[in-house]
Amino acid sequence: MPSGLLVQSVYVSDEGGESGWRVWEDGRHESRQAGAPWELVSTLDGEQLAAIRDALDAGGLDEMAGVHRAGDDTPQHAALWFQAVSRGEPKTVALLGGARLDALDSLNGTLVRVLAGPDFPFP
Amino acid sequence: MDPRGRRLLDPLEREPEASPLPEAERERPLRAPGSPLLDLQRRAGNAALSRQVARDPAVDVARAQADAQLALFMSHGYTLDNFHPSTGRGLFSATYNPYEGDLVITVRVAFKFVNGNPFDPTWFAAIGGLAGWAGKGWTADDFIWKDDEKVKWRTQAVADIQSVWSERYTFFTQKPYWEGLPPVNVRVVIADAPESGDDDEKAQWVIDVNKWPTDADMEEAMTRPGATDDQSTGVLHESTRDAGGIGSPDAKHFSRDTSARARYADADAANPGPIRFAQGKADISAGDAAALQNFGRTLGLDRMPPFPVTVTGRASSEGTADRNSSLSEERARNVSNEIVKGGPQVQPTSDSKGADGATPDPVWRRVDIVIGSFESDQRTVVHEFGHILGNADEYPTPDPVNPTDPPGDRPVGGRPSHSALAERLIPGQQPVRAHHSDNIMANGEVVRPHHYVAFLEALGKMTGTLGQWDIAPAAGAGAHGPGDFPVAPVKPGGSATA
Repeated sequence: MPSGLLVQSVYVSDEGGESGWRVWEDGRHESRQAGAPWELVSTLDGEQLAAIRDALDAGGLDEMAGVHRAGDDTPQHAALWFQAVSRGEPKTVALLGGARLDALDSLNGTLVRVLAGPDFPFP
Repeated sequence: MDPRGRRLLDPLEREPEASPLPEAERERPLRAPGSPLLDLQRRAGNAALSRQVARDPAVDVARAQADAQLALFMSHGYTLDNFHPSTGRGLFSATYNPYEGDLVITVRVAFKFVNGNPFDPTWFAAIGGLAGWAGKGWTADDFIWKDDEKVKWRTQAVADIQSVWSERYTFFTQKPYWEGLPPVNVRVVIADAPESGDDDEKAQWVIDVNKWPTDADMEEAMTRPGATDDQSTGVLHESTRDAGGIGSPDAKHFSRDTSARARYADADAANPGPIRFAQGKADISAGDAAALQNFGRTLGLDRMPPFPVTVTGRASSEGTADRNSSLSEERARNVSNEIVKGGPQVQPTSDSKGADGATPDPVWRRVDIVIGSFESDQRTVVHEFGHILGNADEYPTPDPVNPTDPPGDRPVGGRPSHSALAERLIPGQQPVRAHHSDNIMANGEVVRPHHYVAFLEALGKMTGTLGQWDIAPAAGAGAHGPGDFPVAPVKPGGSATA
């Protein structure tokens, strides 16, 4: 996990394309489309950053297993790599082959609402 | 005797037992070849037949036995429920009516329509986070299925699957003297079924169909069932805002050039262009001819995508425009012909520019050779049902990031898991090689003979005739071959058509 990163969520498709979003400790919120470089979306203010940190600390990352697989044991190439600093420790959760994890859905929902602000169309 | 006829009996040794078909079916006249000996067997039994055969030296014993076996073979139908192909993929049922030559492959499916969750971490990352969302105007309707959308999607998906997978190839018996057995046509039927219930009625596949505003290239897959499982699962992702809307199963466009995989660069390395010419000449030197033929051979390798190639003839500016035009055409044609001799998968496209933009400089007396991108389209659902029907993926996994790292589980040139069975059951079948292609299990929608191998295995297993069949294109549009795949020579007394 790169130094200075607070949270990043990167999806790698089965053909190797990468996309995702991340937030740095200095408040930079960046996004990456498949096949494109990282781009700055916004700079979070102190209140938003604090909300992100609180969500990560309370999001249950400690209780989540590191790797989750969907389906059978065939090699799976598509994966979500969710990495964050929670309670001062780096944590990584990988969802392979389209695996689902309700606790991560919930945490991601909280983070998206913080990033998007009050105008987000889904409460 | 197995009531489904899975073990063939020699009728000279034992009387056939009652047919498991309904009475109405059993009363139909057999179409097996007529034979006085067969009539005798029916009338007077096997012992009488044996005595007759022994008395008459003119009797072709082999044919007489084959006739009787065929009559027995055709006297009833065959069924196979929850068949697991030995490819390690797939689960389906099959019924075979030899009298009609009708093999029906049935897949019982429960489609579960799942509303998309805008906070799903995989989807949200796959679209590139908020930046991928901004300005799109997506609403709840882009995530939530309506009843009419479900009906429309299901109807179209089932029609697509059945159309793509049915009646592409016909199976022919290779057993000597079984000319009377009708060729076997294959129909694939997707049947709605409940998720739970009796074993022979419940869905073999429970498939989540997720609704999203846009295709985020998320994993779509059919899980490999365990050897004794009677049910498995799958996941599809469908987009609201693509060209066909949510009522039409998603399609993907693929574009692959020679940089897509390290081994595809062999085509660039073998490209001898540009080919130079003497003034006023279009002859190809022996050295250039050899290089062009090698280029064609490289393009024809079974691990190479069907890359399109364009050859463009040019001429320097001396001479008349007409002469330069015909000269550049002739140069391009000669280059193209040499490439074709090597056996590329796709015929080169010839173009000629005459002396357009040229000067008297000899550098203009040439033919340029450009390798283009292989482009293809594929409806995801028809590809994914290929797994349900016993096939593995044929597109290659990505090259390792570090060239010294071990290759992926399906590198370019690797053999997908259904290759071995196809090589065993289809006469003349060459190994299947992983690469980008128009094959339905790679990046296109072309069903090739080896994609029918699990059907062939099901037919062989339920009738006790494994390895006794050949395959040929079915009549009608869409079939590929011959020339596209090997067709085995007809065996003496066999019924395969060449």
